[in-house]
Order: sequence, then C-alpha cells, then structure tokens
Amino acid sequence: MTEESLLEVRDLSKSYRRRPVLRTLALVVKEGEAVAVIGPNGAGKSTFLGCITGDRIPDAGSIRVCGHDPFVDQSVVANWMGSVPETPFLYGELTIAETIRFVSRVRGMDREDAAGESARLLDLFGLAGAEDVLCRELSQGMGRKTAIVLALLHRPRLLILDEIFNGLDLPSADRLIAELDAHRARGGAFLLSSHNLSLLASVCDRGLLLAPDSWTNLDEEEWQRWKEAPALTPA
Amino acid sequence: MTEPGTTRSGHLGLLFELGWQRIGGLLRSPTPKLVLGVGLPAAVLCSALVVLGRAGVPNPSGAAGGLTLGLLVSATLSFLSYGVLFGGSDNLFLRQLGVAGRELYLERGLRLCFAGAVTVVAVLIPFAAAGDPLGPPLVIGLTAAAVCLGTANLAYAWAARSTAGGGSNRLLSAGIRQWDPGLARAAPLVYAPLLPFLAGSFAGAVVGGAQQLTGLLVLASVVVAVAGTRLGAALFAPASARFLPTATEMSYAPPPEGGGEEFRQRRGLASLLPRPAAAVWVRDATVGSRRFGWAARVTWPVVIVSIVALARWGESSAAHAWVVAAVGLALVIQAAAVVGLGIVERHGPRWIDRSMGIAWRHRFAGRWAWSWGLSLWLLVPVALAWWWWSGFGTAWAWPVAGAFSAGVATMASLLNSERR
Repeated sequence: MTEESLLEVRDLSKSYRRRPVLRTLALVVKEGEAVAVIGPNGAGKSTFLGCITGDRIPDAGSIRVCGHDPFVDQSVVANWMGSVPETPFLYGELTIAETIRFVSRVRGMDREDAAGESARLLDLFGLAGAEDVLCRELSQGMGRKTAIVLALLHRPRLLILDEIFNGLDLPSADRLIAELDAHRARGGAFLLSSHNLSLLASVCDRGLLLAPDSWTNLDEEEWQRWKEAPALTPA
Repeated sequence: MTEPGTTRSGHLGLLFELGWQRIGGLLRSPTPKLVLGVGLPAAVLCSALVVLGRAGVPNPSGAAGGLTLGLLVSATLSFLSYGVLFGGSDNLFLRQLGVAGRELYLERGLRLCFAGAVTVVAVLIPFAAAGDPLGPPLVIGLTAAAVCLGTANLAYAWAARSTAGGGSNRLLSAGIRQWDPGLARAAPLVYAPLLPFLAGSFAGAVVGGAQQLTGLLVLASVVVAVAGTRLGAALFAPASARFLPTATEMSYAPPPEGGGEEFRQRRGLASLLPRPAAAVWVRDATVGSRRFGWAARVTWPVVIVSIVALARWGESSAAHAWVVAAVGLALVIQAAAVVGLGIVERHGPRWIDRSMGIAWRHRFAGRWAWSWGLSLWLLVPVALAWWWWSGFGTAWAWPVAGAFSAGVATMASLLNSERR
C-alpha cells in the first residue's frame, strides 16, 4: 500500500440471501480525493459504504482504512474515519449538546478543542441555539446536520457520507460542500453518495458507478465525460 | 484531539454515564410508548403477583422448591439475555465511535445484572404479599440469578465469537446446514440460552436443598457471575467488530414469500362488510400490527393471569375486581394504539382515503372492526373463563364492552386523523 492511500478496497463481494449485490469491487482513494458513489436504487451504494464503515459484513475481499482492517482494528479505524449513514442514529433521549459531549469524550478529544470545534460546526450548519433540543424532536434535516457535526467533530481523514444531501436545505448543502473542500485541502478524502447527480458532479473528481451485478471506476476522462451528462449508467 | 492511529480505553464509565443520561431523558419527558409499553404492563404484572400471593409460589424450603424458583428466575433471564446483550439500537453507532468490544460487553452484562435483580424482586412480590419471610426465596433467587448471569455472559460471548467466525458449528447445526446456511451459522446463538437456564435452575435446587453453608453457596454464585462476565467480555472483544454488524444483518426479517397475502380482502369476517370498509379493516390491521405490535402483545399476559386468577379464586370479589381492572387497562392500551393510528394518519393516509373516495362511515366501520377484533383475542378467553369459573350470567358483557370501547377509540382515532 502506498503511504497516501486512505482507503483500499480489493475484490469486495457481498450478497444478501444469496442475491449478489457487489462483485469483486476494487477502489483506492488517496489523500485529497473526492469520490462519488453513483447508481440506481438497489445498486449497492449503501451496502458498499456500509462495508467500509463496518455496518455490513463483506462476504469476501479486503478493506483497509489507512492501512488498518475495520473488522480487526476497529478502534484505530474509528479514529481515522467519520461517517454519516443513510439513516443516521441519534439518541432520542439526549439533546444535541449532550450527544456531542458524549461523542467528543468517547473520541478522546480535549475538552476545549471539542467545545470550540462543536461550536464552529453548529454555527456553520445553523444549529447554534438548538443545542438543548432533544434529538427525537429534530426534523429530518436537523437530524442529518447533527449527524454531520458528529462525523466531522474529531477531524477524521476519511469521510463516508451516504445520501448526504437528503433533507438539507440549499444554503446548508453549500456550506457542507465548502467544509468538504477545506477537508480535502487539509489532505483528507471522502466518498459521497447522493441522487443529486449535478451536486456530485460539482463536488467530486472521480466516480464509482454501481449497477446490479457490475461496477465501473470513472477516472479522469471518463469522469469528465460523465460530468457533461450525469446519468446512472456509463456514458 | 487524540492522534489518529492510537487506541483509547476507559469507555466503560462513559457508557454508564450515557445509560443514566438516557434514563434521565426518558423520565424528564416520557413518551407514550414508554408509559403504555413498559409502565402499564409492569403495573399489571405487579398487581397480578400481589393477587397471586402465597398460592402462586412454591415452598422455598427443599430442593424441589429451590428448583422451581430457580427455573422461574433463570428462564426469565435466559429469555432476556440476547436482547439485553446484543439488541441495543446503538451497537453500530458505538462501534463506529471506536468503543471497545470488551467494555461494551461489560456494560451490557451489567444491564443483564440489573434485569436479574428486577426478576428476583418480582419473584419476591407474592411472598411479600402473603406476609411470608423473604430470606429463603431471596437467597435462592439471588443464587440462581447470579449463576444464570455468569453463564449467560459466557455462553453468549462464545456463541457470538463462533457466529462471527463465519463457519457453522458442525455439532449444533447438524441437519440444518443444507437447507438454511444462515440459520446454521447462528446455531450457537440459538442454543446459548440453554446453559444459563440449566445452570441457574440447578443452582436454585442446590441452595434450596442445602441446610447449611448457604452463605458460602451465595458467595460462590457471585464468583461465578463475576468470573463469567469478565471471561465473556474477554472472549467477545476480538469478535465484536465482526459480530455486531452480523447481528444487525441477522435481525433483518425479509417480507414473506408471495408478499401481500395478508391483503386478501374478501376472506373471513371481512366478507360481511361493504367492500371499502373491508379494505380499510385489512389495511388498518396490517399497519396496526406493524406499528403498534405492543397492543396485541399486551393481550396474552393479561389473559393468562386472568384465567389463573379466575380458576383459583373464581368466587372471590377481589379476584373479580383485579380481572376487571387488568382487562380494562389492557383495553385502554389497545385503544391508545387505535388512536395512535389516527395520529399517524395526519401526515398522509387520510388523503389516500379521501382521494379514493372512501366514505367516513366505511372508514369508521373498517377501523372499528379492526379495533374490536384486536380486543376479542383478550375478551373471548376472559369471558369464557368468567362464565366457567365464576358462574355469572354476565360473561356476554365482555365482548359487548369491547365493542363499545372499540367504538369510542375509533371515533377518537378518526377525529385525530382529521386534526391539522
């Protein structure tokens, strides 16, 4: 593995009840890269991202996050990676502030650093002033913003963001994109899935196009061609 | 910020703190689900145990009595073990935060310990109600619970490790590997409750039959509990990263083959209703069973305890009062589900009904039929038991009361669905 690779996926396969979803998929993501995960419903986007975050168990193949196997070095990988799943989990009984405090302490963050970074992110996503709202009372968009704050809080190097623009208003989506650009500039990388193809085209510089039973890496020229006419099938 | 690539420890205290915070949050602003799904059934159970009194429990002196008490405690704990240890909705979230498997398992193990303490207290209620000494059943209950706890933590950790390994255990999955590899892989989990159930029951029998050295036996059971939990956590730690997502995937229940079978609208009693009302009935019954499953689940404990109470004290007015109160409470819980369906509908389905031109009377008839049908599973067995053991000629009043209660709940449900 080269030093700058943040994610290496080799020969990844996954089936649900004998129905193959991913077949021998391979992907390498290096520092500063932004990869769009594209595909129609049921193509396996969430399954693929779930295999990287450890929410799904691959049937075969290997995954390395910064050189570590997420199914062996779970705690180490958790330090390098931040993720927002398609349906984010939040403790309904806790407020936003209590949830952030818990996550920052579990992640071992310095108290002042955590307070400063969470205040910045809450302000960025328009959640300042809502810290005392119970998570079960949040709207879909506010819940997703809270999950984004939790994923960004410890400044991970690799971000896995599934259906990330769902429920976000346009200004929040713009601020998220600016934050992701800053993340890349610091040497981070991210994988992004969304059904908003034009947003993906503007944010990412590579793509992984999934279809039931097959996949295509869209690098450089192929990506440029795809950006001219974003679609769920290869150009 | 911790440097990337370093592992951290010391999450156990944070997990406890989180648990207390969540309980505090629930108590500060309780949800209807908490009150109806936990509070009321607990109240029904406690009052039933008080009513049962001395007649409902074995003599705690002797091995047979100890075995029975041990069976009660260890069966309950074994049944609860999987859900407490592996059923947490935040398992994957905590895994992504990097919480170590060992600490997660220790925290879950202590939750199981709490469940064991509650079980022992529940077993003591009939003794306390009868004014019997609490010492002997307490010693038996604690010993059985401690041994059950230790062996459950050990057995489930081994089962999790075995399941996460990917292969299927040849001995445990004999005969099922060919037709269901998924089930064969989970075979260790299927059999895991047996060990704590048997060990807890045996411990109850031993301490019940022992004339001396009971203090030593209790101490030994505590050692088993602590050692089993610590060993289980050590066993679970390396398997947790693979097992937690495996458990989540295993909990997925696919829709039935040839789905939509339950939507056959013109069968059984539904054929007696006008076609639109029958359609509403089938739709409401399907949605209600999926969103408000607890409304049906509350039926069986109340039915069983009511039949036992009527069989035992069919002529006692206290027993009659308890049965009426318990059934009334269960009807209130079911009515809450019916009203809840109306509240859920505010955000959509009422428009579907309108756009399809379903008249208000058909919506009422369909929902009332579902609501009454739900209550009949409760009321018919109670009415039969009432008629058989109490000799009253008023058994018919039970289903009639159910029809009335269903009517009120349906009206409230539909009015709620129309509110903005």
